[in-house]
Amino acid sequence: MSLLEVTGLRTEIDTPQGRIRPVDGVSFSVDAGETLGVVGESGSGKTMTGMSIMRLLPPGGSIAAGSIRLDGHELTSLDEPAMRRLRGSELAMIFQDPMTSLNPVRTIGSQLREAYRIHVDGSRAAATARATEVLGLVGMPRPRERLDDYPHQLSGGMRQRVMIALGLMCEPKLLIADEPTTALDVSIQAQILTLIDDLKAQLSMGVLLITHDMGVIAEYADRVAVMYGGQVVEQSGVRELFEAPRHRYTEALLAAMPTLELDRNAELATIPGSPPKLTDLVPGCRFAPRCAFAQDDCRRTDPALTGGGHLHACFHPADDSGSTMAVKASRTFAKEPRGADALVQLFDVHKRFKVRSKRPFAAKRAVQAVSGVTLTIAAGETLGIVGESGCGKTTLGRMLVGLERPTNGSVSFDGRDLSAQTRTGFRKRRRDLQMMFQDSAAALDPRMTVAALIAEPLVAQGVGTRRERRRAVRELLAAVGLPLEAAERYPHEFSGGQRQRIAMARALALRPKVIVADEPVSALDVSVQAQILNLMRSLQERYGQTYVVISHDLSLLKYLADRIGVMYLGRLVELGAGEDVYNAPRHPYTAGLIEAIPAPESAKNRAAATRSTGLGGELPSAIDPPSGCHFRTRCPLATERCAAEIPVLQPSEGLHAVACHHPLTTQVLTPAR
Amino acid sequence: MARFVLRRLGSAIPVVFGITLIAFVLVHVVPGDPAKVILYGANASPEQIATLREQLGLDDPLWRQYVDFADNLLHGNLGTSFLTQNSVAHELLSRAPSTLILTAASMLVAVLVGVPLGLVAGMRPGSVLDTVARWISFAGVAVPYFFLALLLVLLFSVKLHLLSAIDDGTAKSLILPAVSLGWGYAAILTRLVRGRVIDELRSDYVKSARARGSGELRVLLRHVLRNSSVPAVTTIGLQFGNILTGAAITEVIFGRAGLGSFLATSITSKNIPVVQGAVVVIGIAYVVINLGVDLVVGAIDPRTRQEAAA
Amino acid sequence: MSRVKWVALSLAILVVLLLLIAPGALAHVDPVATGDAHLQGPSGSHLFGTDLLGRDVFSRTVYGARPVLIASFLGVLLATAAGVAIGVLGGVAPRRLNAVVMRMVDVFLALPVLLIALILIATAGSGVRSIVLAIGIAFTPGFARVVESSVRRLRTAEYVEAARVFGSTTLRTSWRHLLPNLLTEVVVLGSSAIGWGVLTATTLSFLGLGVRLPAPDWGSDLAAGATNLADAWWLSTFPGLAIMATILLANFSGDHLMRVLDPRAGIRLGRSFRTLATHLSRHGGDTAYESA
Repeated sequence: MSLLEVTGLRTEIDTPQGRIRPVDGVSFSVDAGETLGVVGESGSGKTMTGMSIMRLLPPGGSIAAGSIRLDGHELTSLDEPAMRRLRGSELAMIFQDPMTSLNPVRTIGSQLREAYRIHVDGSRAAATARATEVLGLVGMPRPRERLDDYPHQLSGGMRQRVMIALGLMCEPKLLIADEPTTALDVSIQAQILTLIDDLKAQLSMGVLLITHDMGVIAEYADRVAVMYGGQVVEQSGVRELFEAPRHRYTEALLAAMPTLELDRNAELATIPGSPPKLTDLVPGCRFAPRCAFAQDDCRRTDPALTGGGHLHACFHPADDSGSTMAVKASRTFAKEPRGADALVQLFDVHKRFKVRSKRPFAAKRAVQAVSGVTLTIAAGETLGIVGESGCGKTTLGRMLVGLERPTNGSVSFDGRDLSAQTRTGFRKRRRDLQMMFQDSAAALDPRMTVAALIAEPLVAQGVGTRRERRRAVRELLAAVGLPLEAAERYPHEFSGGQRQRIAMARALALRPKVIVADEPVSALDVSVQAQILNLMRSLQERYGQTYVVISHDLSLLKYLADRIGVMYLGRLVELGAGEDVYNAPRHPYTAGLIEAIPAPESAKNRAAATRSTGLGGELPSAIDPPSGCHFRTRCPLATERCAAEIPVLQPSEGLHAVACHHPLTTQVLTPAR
Repeated sequence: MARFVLRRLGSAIPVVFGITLIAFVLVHVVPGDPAKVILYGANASPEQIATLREQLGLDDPLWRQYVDFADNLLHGNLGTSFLTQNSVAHELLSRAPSTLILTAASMLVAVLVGVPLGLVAGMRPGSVLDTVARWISFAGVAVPYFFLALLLVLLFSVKLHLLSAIDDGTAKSLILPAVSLGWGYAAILTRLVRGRVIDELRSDYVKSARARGSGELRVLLRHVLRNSSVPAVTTIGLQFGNILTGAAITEVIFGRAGLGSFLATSITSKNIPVVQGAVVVIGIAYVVINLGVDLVVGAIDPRTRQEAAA
Repeated sequence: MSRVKWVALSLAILVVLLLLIAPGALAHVDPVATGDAHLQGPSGSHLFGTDLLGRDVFSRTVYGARPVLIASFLGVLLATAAGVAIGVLGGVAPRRLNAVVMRMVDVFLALPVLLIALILIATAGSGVRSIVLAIGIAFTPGFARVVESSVRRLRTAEYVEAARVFGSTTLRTSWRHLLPNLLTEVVVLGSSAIGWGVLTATTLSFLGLGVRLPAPDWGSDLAAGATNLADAWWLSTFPGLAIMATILLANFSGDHLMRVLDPRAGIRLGRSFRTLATHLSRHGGDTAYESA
């Protein structure tokens, strides 16, 4: 008998728009000591499934049908007080954002003690002892002292550990983790997921891992259920899923992800359209509107799960016959051979931000956001800048488009120093350096129509007559794949992917030579990401601009970028051709980063016990960074020289540039990959 | 924590300085010669007026007068009333207690009625209780307190003979004035707290607390109450000055002795030192109360105590 | 907002306008004309009864709206203008200047509204003009505070930065992006302040600092009727109810005005208001597309 058995679960919520069913007939099981991954995009119902098990439904929500059995006991028939007794004791759930999930005005200790004393009638001392014990279990350094801290005093990774500790206080049987690492940096992500994995084995828990990230599933789940439109469309062991997906959606999803093996010049397979809205569901298979293999029977009847060990709900599943949805083979991008002319030059660029101390007479403190970056960007290339939070990549991007001025060093475009320009000269230069912002909703003035937004750069620069501008807007809309009617609508009426297209059109309006794209796809669903990435490539093919893509996602850049630069705490620590940096990283940080990225490939050759945790430790403070090489506090290869001397970014041994005293020539950090 | 307190004190000082400046400027804004006002009715000769002017230092350069004024203030001397020749400080302080008590009582009414009402409404938005609470608060904001005072007197005093409208020194006589003044502020607090509670109940940390098995009551008391009470506390602090003047006016309506009638006559009779003194005292009291409010908020919410974080 | 509410709101606003501009349309009796029927209760001939001197209370209530409405509208307008000016100054000023300006605002904030009003009226004399000035000065610091923080927030908005990136000048950015967004917030703020303005204006006239008798005014009539409350409840009650109704209306409108002006609302009427607002702020507008 499984630990958790969900059968035919159906959850309904009464909303102002009507009654919706975010969970519509979901069945799966989880055993003790096993991790079931539930993967899906927005609107798939994965989060609501987890909440339904905990019975933490929003107002107006209820479980309409189905059964949930924990250790044989039926949960749906329990009344609320009984359910409450289970929550936090036998069932535990952790959420995405640890900052907002902890009460900011209470200490960690008080919250941990509360979690214990709700269920166990113990003294305060007993609760404190247990809290200390559990904090130690989750790998928190100096647990006893942490109890008196407030949440905002801890880093993101530590806060998530506290969340896990809160869930473990009463030794639960089942842990539901809803996007536990999405808000964290990549290196911390690996630590947390490994921690959950270890705890699962230690405590013989069952783990329900809910995520949108296929890589996470591949690496940390034993079995997986794929959800789409409120239903489970495929369920199997992880390996089988990745090797031979059956449902067309799964197949398309896997094809849309830029993987290691993908040819850089190939177009990404995309899934047209976007995930269905729960308010207007069609009869028949919910994926049919987007499926290249849909036929009449798909549109008439809702397929049920079949297939024994590898369940799938599809009338025309993928088999080994080779007819796939992958469009990729048919189209490659023809890239102009990269010219050697330097278009943008950054020379020893520094950026310091003063930290405002509220004390009137305190010593002035500053954050060195960027230190000593020297870089040349050639015309027509795509340069990727990767790094985690606080590494300075966004600041660097802002300096490229003139939103910030370097405190030292220079940014030159076409041979001319940007800071040395006159006001009008600088304004003219701006035509060639444009930006796509990270948050497209915030970057588009909600009061302006799309047409006005796209034309605004032209208007601001005084380019073209009214008629010419109108024509330009029409052209740009077509180029980014938006219908003409979009012009009269407002940004809030569009989806995330469509807003990115609007941002793209806007960035192109002045036909700039360089476009800086700050996290262009990180907020989008996987199936939509591919669309935008393909769009970026095809536009580059057509207009020939240079891209500087800033992202935390190294595998994305490996696909997209010609060259990749890795940043850590304000410094450029590695720079080279994308493939070189990815396949043969020279800086220990890069190697650790690559290892921390959960990748679908690992599903195929997983050696169970030999996964190393990649990068240990936490990101040091940006105000007071370690002397010498900033990375030395986390580097297994650090020596005394690393503390004394700042390494310089330079090529060596005939390989690409790296800033390290002991660069890697092979991947010494990864034993089994 | 100590640094936080010092910081707040530091920013309060310029404000106090500004208040004294304004109080001082009043003399020169009011048309008419203060000396003439004092000697009004005494048929004083021009020489007598001139002598008085010199006595009062009215012919000195402005900055000099201000320095004297400020110096006096620092020694606790608020000047002398034109009318009675008594110390202004004495006149104000002797009448203050009654008004302050009314102010405090009204603030108490506002908090004791407004906060629970807001909590209840926020916990069950859309329910009957919520609708009732919202309409009460709607009415509270719309009713001018002087009107409410009259209505309450009509109802409880005249028709029902339950409460006395006249001040007889007992706490019972405080009820009607305190309620009529406090009601409007209770309405404001209700709205504020209700909105805050609704937001907090939707927040992630409440979701997490529920996931750990906290029941509704526990969630409310241990988590939501603290966070929701912050805006209530700050608002009441900010409104102190208005409540005080409202109390003064309410006193006049109910015929209670206190600062209200005193200030009114002082203003109309152009008794400048009294008005000056009142401005200074009220202004400083406001600053002190807001300081207290800031400290309470700092005690409740540790994030505000934090300096620019690393 | 439902149709019914929309209609009710429009009607109410119409009534207010009438009261302001042409009270004679609603009341046909001269409010200051004395008569023989003293202290009569509400009846067919005198809808709201008569007062001590036989004057028609209904008529006095209708005509009494004017001083109150004028005082509160103009007063709030004055405070809005001054508050916006100071708030914008504080919001765009460098840190030192901002600190100085906002400290000065804090000083005025420390003084209660009524105290400022009383002192001002004591010096400038009573009457509608003084009340306008009093409200204007007293409400300004509150406005300034809110506007300043709004401006600071809007300045760092991402769409403002985006405008900088494609070379929009500061002037142009302020005009096209800051001002329209600021306008919405200011309008909502102003309309909800009118409720407070009415309260303050009537309090002042209650204290005898407004128009002099026998001119009709809600506040002073309410005060005059207070002594006869037990016998002749209608003298104070109707002006009081009128005050309440006006404040309720003001608050209601303020709440709903926000939705009308926000592009995210999308009610049909809102669209036309919206284009009006954007046209007003665009001043010779520069559209790439002509609005259909």
